[in-house]
Amino acid sequence: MAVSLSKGGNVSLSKEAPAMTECSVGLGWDDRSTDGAPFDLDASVFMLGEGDKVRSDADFIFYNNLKGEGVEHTGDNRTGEGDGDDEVINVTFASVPADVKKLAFAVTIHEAESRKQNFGQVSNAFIRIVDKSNKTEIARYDLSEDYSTETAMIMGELYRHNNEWKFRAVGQGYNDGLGPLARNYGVNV
Amino acid sequence: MTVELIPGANAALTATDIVVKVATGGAADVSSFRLYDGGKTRIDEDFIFYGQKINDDRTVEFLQNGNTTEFAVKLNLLNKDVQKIAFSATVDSGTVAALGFIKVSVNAGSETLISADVPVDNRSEKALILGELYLRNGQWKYRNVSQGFDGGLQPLAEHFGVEIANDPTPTPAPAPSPAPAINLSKVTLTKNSPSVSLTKRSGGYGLIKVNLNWTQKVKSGFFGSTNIDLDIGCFVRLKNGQKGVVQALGNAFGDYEQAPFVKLTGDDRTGQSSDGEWLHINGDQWAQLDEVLVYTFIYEGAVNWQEANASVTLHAPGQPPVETFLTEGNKKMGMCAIARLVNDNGNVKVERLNSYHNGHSELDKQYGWGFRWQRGSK
Repeated sequence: MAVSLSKGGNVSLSKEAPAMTECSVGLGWDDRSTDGAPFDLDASVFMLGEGDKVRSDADFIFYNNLKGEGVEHTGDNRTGEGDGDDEVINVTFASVPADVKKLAFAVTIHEAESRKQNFGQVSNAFIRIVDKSNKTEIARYDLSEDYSTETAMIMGELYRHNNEWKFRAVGQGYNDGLGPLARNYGVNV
Repeated sequence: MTVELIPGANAALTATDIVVKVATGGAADVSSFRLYDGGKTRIDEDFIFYGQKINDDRTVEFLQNGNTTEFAVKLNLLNKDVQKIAFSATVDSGTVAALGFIKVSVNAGSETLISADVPVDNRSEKALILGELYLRNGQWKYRNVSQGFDGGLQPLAEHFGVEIANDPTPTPAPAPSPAPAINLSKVTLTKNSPSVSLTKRSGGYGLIKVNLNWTQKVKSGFFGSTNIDLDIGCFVRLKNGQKGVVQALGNAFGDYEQAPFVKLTGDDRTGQSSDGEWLHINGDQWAQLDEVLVYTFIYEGAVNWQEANASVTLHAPGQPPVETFLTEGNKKMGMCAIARLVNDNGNVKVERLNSYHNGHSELDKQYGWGFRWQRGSK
């Protein structure tokens, strides 16, 4: 049973999917039917070591750097065309290096400021985390409704705890886009 | 207490008998659309405007006074199938910017519940969806939409299902210039910025990958669904004058380590493969290459570029991807010259071509390669 989260909501992975070994983070939205710049939402992952910082810039998995150890971004969708998840990031827990303590998942609007866009202007925008083995949705944020005035958010974190992976839903919205978010995690942008 | 909504924002309504009030700084036609599943109207009575002031079940009523238009809406009496009521403003000439302002409020009795003004400065639209009342999890809410159509009432009406809607072609974003360190930009080749030079790294360009990706739109339209098999390929000319073709048709998959230094990694027959088809160009051997002309063609299926929803992206190490969309194709021609990589004094210059042709030999002729062609199949 998927947990639909709203602002600040929380979910425990050990309860929702205790046996999960691979997960997908899916980002979806509808392509723009009105005139104007397309809505271009981007999913990204920060692979974090000690102190909640990336070990190197290569730990920032996004549309220009699709692969990391244990993490694969399946590609950039620029318009939201098509049904279901428009961007997907797959994580294989066993392949994530031991010194990566945490994976933080983010969603941002590309060039939100210059295009004057926020999540609320995008139809049916969501981000969700799915257990790959049985396609069970573990958590979902409805961006168009609950994060309507924001342009970036940290969806949640997968983190190591006593030799197992746990998921914490963060649901923290920001208004500054991907650049400041990446800098915050120690990426040299 | 009044809730202020910026464009995109929404709020729940605390009353069911409400009045949506729209005040404009100049003359505008303000209308409402009653919408069902999929955001579409069903019958003529769903459209309430100066020519039809009340709908069939008296749930939406129009009242105009100068440049102020009011809609009295009885949410609890609406047919259970109604999902949304959208409000719009259109102007006859110029754009909505000339109105100066559009103030929208949702009121219950003497109380203003929501204020959701629509910014109009520098707007290019002739018709705007101001906002919408919508049902979510059993609760009526209002959203400030503030989006519209440059073409005015017709595309607006089509949007709400008054006529058969065609998907508009996505407008690619203007290309931002590359920046050092990690690059957050994406480069899109368009008519206005048709070429880009790749930055050389020490030792060569490394692996330059060209990706063709397309999706089959799942469509249950009047014309049924069609299956398209889209192929990528290229003409390669070396500095020593040798030339050849790399493509799945004819099983000419090429070679990465030896001439032609270009390899096709596979053949995706359906568009279902998540990352499509790749051409690998050996950028470390760039000095030996003179030109690579990348094309795509519809091997199987009806010629419909819009449906194929294809994009071609060029990835080079340490550089932002260069992307071009193939959705504006000529309906009759099944082959598109996408771009060419030209050896420009040792640099890789990527030029957008975006020209459509009837087949290999016509494309060949256009760009002066001089191959001999015969029919083949996979």
